[in-house]
Amino acid sequence: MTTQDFINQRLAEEARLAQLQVQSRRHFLKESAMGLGALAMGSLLGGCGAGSRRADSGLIAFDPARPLLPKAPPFLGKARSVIYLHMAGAPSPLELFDYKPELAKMDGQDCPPSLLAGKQFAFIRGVPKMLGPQAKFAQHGESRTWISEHLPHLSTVVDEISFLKAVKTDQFNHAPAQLLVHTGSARLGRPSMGSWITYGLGTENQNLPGFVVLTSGGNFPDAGKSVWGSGFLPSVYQGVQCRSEGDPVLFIKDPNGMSRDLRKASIDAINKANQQSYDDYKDPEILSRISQYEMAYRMQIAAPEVMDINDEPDYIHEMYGTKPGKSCLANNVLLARKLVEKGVRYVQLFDWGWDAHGDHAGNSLNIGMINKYRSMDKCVTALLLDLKQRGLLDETLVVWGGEFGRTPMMENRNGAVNPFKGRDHHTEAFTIWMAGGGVKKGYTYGETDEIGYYGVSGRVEAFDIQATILNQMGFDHEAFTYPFQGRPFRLTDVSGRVIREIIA
Amino acid sequence: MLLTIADLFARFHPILVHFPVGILVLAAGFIWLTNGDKYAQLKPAIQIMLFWGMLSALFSCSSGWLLAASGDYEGDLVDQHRWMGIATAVASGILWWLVRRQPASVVSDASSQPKYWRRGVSAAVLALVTVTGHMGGSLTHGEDYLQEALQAGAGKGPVIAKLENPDTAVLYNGLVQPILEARCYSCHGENKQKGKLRLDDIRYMLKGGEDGVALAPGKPEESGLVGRIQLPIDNKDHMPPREKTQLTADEIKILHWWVATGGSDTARIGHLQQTAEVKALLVRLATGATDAEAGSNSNLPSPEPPAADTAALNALQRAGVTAIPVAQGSNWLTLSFVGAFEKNEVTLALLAPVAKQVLNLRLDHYPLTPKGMDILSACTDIQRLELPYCKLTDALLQKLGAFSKLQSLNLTGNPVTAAGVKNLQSLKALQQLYLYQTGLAGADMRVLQEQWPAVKIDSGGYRLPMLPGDTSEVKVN
Repeated sequence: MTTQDFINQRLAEEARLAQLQVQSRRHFLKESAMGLGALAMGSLLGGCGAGSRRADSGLIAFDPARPLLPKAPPFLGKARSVIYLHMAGAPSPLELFDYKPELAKMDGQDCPPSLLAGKQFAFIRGVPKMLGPQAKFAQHGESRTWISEHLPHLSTVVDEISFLKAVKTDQFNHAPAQLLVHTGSARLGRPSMGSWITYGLGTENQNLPGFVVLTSGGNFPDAGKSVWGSGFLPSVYQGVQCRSEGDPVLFIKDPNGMSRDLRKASIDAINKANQQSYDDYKDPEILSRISQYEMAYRMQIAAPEVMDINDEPDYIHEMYGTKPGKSCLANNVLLARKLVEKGVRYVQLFDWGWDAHGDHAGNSLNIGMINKYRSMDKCVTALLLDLKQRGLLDETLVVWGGEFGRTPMMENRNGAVNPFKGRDHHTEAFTIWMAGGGVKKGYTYGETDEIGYYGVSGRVEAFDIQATILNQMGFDHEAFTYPFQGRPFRLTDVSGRVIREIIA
Repeated sequence: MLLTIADLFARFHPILVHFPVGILVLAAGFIWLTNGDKYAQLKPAIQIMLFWGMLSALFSCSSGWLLAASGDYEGDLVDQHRWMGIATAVASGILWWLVRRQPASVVSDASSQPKYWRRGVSAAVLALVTVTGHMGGSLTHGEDYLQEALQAGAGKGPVIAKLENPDTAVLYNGLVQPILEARCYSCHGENKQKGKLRLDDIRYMLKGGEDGVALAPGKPEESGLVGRIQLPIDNKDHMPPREKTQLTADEIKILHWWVATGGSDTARIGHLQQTAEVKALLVRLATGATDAEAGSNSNLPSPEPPAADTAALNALQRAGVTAIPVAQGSNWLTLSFVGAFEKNEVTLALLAPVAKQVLNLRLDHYPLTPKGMDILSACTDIQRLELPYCKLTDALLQKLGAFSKLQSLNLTGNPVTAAGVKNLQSLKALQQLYLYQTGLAGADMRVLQEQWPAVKIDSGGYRLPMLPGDTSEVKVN
């Protein structure tokens, strides 16, 4: 017996013992009872629901061994990929898109009691003062869209954009509101939109993840990583967070002293062991793990190249206003374009720091927010133009928005006067816009009242936006379901309407 | 309109009917259960249940009578439901009397004759309750409510069938009536007339209901029928009600067109004036295609090619090429070589067996050779071709001239020149051309765009000015 044989024998024995430890009487009873019961149920329920066209179209052929294989959408989708730009903290539409001259006239007056009755605000107490728009507005483009002076670049491309000006939500705190926008539920545990879409469509490039998340602004979104979580979907569909500084993914380089071949050999060995435990326990999560190891290995080659924005020419860097070597929104936006170009399905960007309360200079409308506008305006405009000139805009849906709106009143934190101008969280109306991916160009849907407090027409909510995004990707949001805890789940839960008004 | 107490009582009918249904079924069940000794202790309950069942049946009958009199319901089914309901109440009364006549005893009372009577009448009550309940359900939900659940996708899919002879067919019979029948009759038809409106005949439509006429021939804006279906879905006057299946855009167009052209039930499609939009719609209907909105695949070219060879698709997949149907159930393919493991002719050659099925194709940073272009040119039905950074030259570009169905062509980053691109004018179906980072100068682009007005040419090269704010930050004073 050689040493090698001896080691192998020891390992085999160890594995056998480990396996015996999990085989209990309970295990046996459960297996036999559940197995027979499941067989019986299967044949009993076989006829249920079959034949319905809508039910069938929602089923996704899911191969747990290769969960990211590209799949056909149920219907012909207009868009191939999504770039979702989330301004975490919720920017004020009143300083950017929603022009309210009447509000300027009320500046400094006490808020009418009718706007306060029965309302609950995050920080406003008592009777606050009204706060006029902290920006000048002008009409731009052939669509004559009103845009604020704070967005000098974006105002040149309004004719590419569909604005939704009367979005509403029912969550006035950041984390639940962000969860609602991205997972369809204000509570934790549901899969995010990117997970749903990669579950439904797989990834176009087997060397890269299908769902990439990039954050900037110095902080994670308030809801944490759950906003790109996979919920009850297999974990392989969760967003892969990449860093825009240093290595895109931690430990993507081979460690010192380990060659590429050795790396491959060790991954193969791990996968073989995982495959054995899958054969024993049939837990699909093990298959997810195997495919993740395989993708990680391929990503080692592909990702550093795709994730490196330094190979872009100087004029592109200038157009986006990137800051090489730093972590910022502009770098992430440029990276998003590169990822979409390489076949990534869903790129989710979060830029933190838009919470314009005005309790310190950094989040005041006149100082901190101006800097946020400047950091966003140029790169987002560049993204639209760059996608357009590469022929990618009509197959990439770009979505921009926050999680709620801001009050037309000035915030008076705990009844005192805030040192800077700011607005509190507001659920009734805010602006989200979409561009490319088969939505109308230069169009506005929805309208708020004359002070931007309530939506008066074309009101939509997060579910409607989700339904529209799914529709553009080729899904019927009512039929696109995943069975969990005994019932089929949808991204849009029991609600949602495709906003046909903005579809080209 | 002021609601009288009687009207209010009438509207409780749909709730009240559940009491006799529940109580009488249970009472009849008890009568059969207490046949033996095992459940003899239930006997005293029977009489009480029958009393309340009878009483609620009487209330149901009277409220139902008032509801029928309110004018929203008419027709044979209503009358049948009415008399069956009364029969149920009477039968339950008889049963109650039979049971009462022989007081319940917990001890079994051998085989007395009336017992058979009781069981017979209880069976009759059970049957009457079932039949009457079913009729009531048909009145509320429509007559084919139950069948619908058994038929695949019934009530959900498109209503309009393929039009066999689009010119000679009568518009009303061929297109309009099927829509109304599927979406409107259940509430505005023979048996039920919500808002006193019937839509199952032109006469009734002209007469209208409580809120005015449904059909004003030639005037769609005055016709309630067309107006209501076009209201936003959250408007309270929108029809069909929000929770019911909605009309598709095509169905709305047809109804609008029908009313605009006179709302006749005899006019033939060929004789009516057709707008460009209607013409396109009729062409689609004639080919058997349905709604062109997203959510359907009707704007796919037809006929479909035969299904692609599975082995060929697997080979592509193994090479890292995405090759998937453009939509589930379609044989047309979208191919993307973006993630191809080896970007060479060998991988490209894998495309040859499925060339006839390719509708969209994307190659990115994929050096193309004359041989590679020959492989590509086999994709004769291709509509969208993306070839960014593929080292295409004017000479190679010549091979693209044969794509008669090509709508969108992306040549970003290829060293092609004006001379080469000019030859692409043979592409008759082309709508969109991307020429960013090619060898064409600005003047070339302008000339090309003038010569080729039908094609949207994007020359790219967008720049954003450097504004003072782009590089500076506002600081606290």
